[in-house]
Amino acid sequence: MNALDIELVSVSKSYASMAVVKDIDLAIPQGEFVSILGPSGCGKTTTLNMIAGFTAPSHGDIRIKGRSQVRVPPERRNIGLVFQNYALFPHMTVTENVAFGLKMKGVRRDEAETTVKSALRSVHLEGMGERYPRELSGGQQQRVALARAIAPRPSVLLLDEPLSNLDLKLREAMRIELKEIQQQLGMTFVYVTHDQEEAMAMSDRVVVMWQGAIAQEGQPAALYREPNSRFVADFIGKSNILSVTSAATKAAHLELAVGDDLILKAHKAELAGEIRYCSIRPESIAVLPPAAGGSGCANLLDATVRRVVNLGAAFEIDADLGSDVRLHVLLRATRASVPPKVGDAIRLGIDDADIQPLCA
Amino acid sequence: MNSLALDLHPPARRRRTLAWFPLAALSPSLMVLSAFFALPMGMMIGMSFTQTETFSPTLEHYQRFFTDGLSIAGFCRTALMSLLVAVSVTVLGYPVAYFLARATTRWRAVVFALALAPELAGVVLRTYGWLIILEDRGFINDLLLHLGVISSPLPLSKNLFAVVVGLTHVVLPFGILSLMTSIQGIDPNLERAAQMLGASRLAVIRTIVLPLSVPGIVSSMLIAFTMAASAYATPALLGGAGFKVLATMIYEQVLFYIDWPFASVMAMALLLMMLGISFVGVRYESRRRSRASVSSGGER
Amino acid sequence: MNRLISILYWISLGTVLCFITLPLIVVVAASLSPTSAVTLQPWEWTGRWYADLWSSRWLDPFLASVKIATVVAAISGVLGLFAAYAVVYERIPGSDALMSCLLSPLSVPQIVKGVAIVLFLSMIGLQGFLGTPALIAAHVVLALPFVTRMVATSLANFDANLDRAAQILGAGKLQRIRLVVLPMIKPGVLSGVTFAFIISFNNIPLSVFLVRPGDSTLPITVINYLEYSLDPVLAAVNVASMAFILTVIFLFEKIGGFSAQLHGGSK
Repeated sequence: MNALDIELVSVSKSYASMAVVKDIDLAIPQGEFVSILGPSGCGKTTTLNMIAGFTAPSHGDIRIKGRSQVRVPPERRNIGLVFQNYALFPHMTVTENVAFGLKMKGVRRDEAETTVKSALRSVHLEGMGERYPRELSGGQQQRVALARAIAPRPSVLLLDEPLSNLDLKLREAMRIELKEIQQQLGMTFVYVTHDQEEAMAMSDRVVVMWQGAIAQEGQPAALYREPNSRFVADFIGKSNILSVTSAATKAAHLELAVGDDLILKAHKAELAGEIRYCSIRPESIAVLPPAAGGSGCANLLDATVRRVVNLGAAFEIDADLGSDVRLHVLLRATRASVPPKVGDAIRLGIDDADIQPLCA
Repeated sequence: MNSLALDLHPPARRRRTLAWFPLAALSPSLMVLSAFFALPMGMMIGMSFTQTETFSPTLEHYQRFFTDGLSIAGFCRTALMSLLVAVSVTVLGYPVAYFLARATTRWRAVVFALALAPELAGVVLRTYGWLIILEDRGFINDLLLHLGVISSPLPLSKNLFAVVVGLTHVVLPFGILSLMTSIQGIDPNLERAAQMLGASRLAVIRTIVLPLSVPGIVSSMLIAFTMAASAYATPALLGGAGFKVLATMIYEQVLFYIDWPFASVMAMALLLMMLGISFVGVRYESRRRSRASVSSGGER
Repeated sequence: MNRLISILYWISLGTVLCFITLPLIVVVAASLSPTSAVTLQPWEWTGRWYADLWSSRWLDPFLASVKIATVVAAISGVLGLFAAYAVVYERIPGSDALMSCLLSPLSVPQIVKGVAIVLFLSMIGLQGFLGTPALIAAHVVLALPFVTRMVATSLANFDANLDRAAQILGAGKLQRIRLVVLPMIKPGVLSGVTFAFIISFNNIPLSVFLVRPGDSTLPITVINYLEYSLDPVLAAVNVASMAFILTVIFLFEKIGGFSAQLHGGSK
């Protein structure tokens, strides 16, 4: 078992009477890439600030390598932080920026020089050492910020939405690069973001926060497949969320009543509490010709096409199932596929495993 | 009138009917400033170069200024006093300015009001306050005698010390404001970044805050110097009869000795001292600007 | 180490704040004490210095100062508004140079301006002009650049698209100035006028050359008296005049308050 790098033990933070973070428990093993994901105002930045040491928790304990950090100031925690706006020192060159942490640690000059060089190499900025931050592009500044944070070899690196100021192309390239650097260094990364794609693309584990608490945590694929709440299903990826009026266990299936008189057959699942919603991913729904036969789908439903939107790689189809139920369906565009037209009658096939019942 | 062509205004025909109006709006100000500023200044400058009886051009008043020990001493005393004020305003103002730039609590408003309120009180009230505090039987001497720290009153008033204290108090709000503006321009994340990299409070101040607030320090020193050099009431009241700076000497020349040419020369000396100091500031600022813009090619 | 630094920081902050407030507190205390010496011994509070203020000795210079400051605020407010309008809003040719001219008195020390004006008046034989008329002229020269600069700043911050929007909607020039521009820059004009009033009311370096016996301002009367006495009545005068200034600021703030909010909301 991996040693734990960071532990948050029932950590809470409130300002005046406002609870910003509510009783969070989190254990991050060494070498993991963990994302804290949530919409703005969910408490993720406060959590980051508490790990960094800028904010003291109102209750609970924060441990790094097993030792409590609550009374340790940020400069003694041996944590790196990459800021959203990079926070590069404008009066220092790239080299001086990267060397700053080593200088503060009292590392010998020649040793520091080697470390700075290798840090700059790992972010592909060799030869930029004499420039000032303002002479660099946004992407280069971002890399300097990363090099500066990893140069003193912190045990943990916190990243606060580091890619949000870059344009889309660069952002996607940096995702891959960040992940590679993390694996090379074997360093624990805690990545705070509101961008679910970013979190899914890079992380070993994603922690979804909502309203100051952890909504769900797990591997990206598991979160996507089995969200535990309406919020997570909706926040991670796109989903059809239907209200369930009643649920009954019948033979091999769980039967969920949706809309006026529609019954969906879902996988049997152990759920604590009453089922109130179910989630169906648009791409898990098969579009079949009207009156088509089984093909092994547990649910075969007739629908009318209300709208077709061409997204390039796929078509988004708005299908009306009658009885007040509408589903978004994602149909992958292939050379052979001809999308249905508005008003066409189609049949939708949904596997029982693709219907995720939700309690909240 | 090419600048008007760019404007989104009605056609020129209608415009012309109103074109006299801006000039008419501007002329009263220009007339007042010409009559009561430009003309008097020109006359004063002319007088400093004019022989009193023959009205021929001469440098004799300037010669007199440079050969007169008292005048030169007054000039140097003005510079020394202003320099001391500039330094003490900047040193004392810095912690307050830092607090005002960074604090987010409601105490910020309180400190802000405390720091700037004296500005509304006027110079006389504050000078009077310092007289009461610093005089031989004043507040501080009374306190120290009472505590037995001293046996006879310290000479706190009627000297350079008293004047520097009084002027520092007068100028401090302006120094605080210019330092505060400069510190506010420093991204607080830079301080946090340095801290995350292992810098102690002292190291953060030394390596990040101070170097980045140099422009504010320079402008605070300049403001303090120029305000102190041209102050009249504080040196006159707190310095005592023997304490002569250019401002008080000018006053004496005009009202007691009625030596206008010499008063003009002293006024010129004060003006040139201020312009010289301002020039240093302008040079510094333009050099800083050009350094920043030459190397900002890759920004954004 | 960090502990020590932050303790030193708070101590220095506290000390400076004490330094700033001490003279004001001392003056208030002196105005209520029987003698000017503010000592540690307890004393009997007295209001008699404030009662003494109600005599022509102090009322006359006070009223003179109020009169001068009011006229100065009015003149420099109107002139500054017009000048900034011409230079910034109309952008008449050579506006940069004109602006520098309008602001040039700021770079000359007050005492030098004072000397220049008194010499000028004496040279052209207008000594009779000394006293109130000369004080008003000199204070306008002092205040006008400040007012011009404040109005110019609010005109420069004024969103020109609002003006264009009004124009597209059919407003003529005078209507736009009256209904759009003036309401938007009102806070700038009002603070300029307030500032002009205060610098005139508190002025010493210019006034000291231009007063005449029997036609003097309050600050000059006070410093002339201060040169040979620390009479506590002076403390009372100072406290009363500061209270007056605060009232003036409060009143102007009341007038400008609502539109200042509008102004802030539109940015």
